[in-house]
Amino acid sequence: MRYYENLYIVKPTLSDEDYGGVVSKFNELIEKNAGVMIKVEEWGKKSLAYDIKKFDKGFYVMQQFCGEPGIMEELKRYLGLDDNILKYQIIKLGDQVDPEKLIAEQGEGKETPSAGEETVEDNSMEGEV
Amino acid sequence: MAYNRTPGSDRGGNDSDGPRGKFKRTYHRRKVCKFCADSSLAIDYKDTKIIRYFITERGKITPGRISGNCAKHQRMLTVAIKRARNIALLPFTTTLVR
Repeated sequence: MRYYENLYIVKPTLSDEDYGGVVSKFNELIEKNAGVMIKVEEWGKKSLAYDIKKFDKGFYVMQQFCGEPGIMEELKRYLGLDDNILKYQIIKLGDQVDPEKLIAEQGEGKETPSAGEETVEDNSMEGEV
Repeated sequence: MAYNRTPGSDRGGNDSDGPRGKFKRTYHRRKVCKFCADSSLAIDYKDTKIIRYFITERGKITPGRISGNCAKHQRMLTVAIKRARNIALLPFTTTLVR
């Protein structure tokens, strides 16, 4: 399985309910396509470095997941179709990873935050080079 | 290098040898790659706090010869900066008036 990371920006004008709906929609999409969710991070409303579709703010959501390459195509399609998504970026963090191991690392990370995160970072470096 | 240092060599002469040697010595400063020196420092496009150190006020990428990064880390850094720009974490330019 491949290890991906998706960072997307949701329209800032949405209500809390709608925003929650968008986030859960894309989380469910991964589960539906036989992917394994590793981590979801909501960074909240942040100001953008430049205007996107005439918005200068946006909700940042980051999701890390494992799946077969087809999952990414599917996700891309839905992200492109959704009007509430200002922009997204999917990057590959690693080839042939064991999702269970990654989840275990996440669990360790909660107990000792610094150590757990570093191991994840190391994986990402290997994937990029 | 060797023959320049040999005293009495008629090739270099006083006028070319002296000033050049001085110039080199005055401006020599040792630079160390930040990421090599501190292995806990990871290059991540999401971590703009670290990356911001390596871009100019205008948002340009600082060259490796200025920042002192080694080629390997400079390469990783440029990729990270470009990714951060793409998702609006960092600006492409700062000429836009807000």
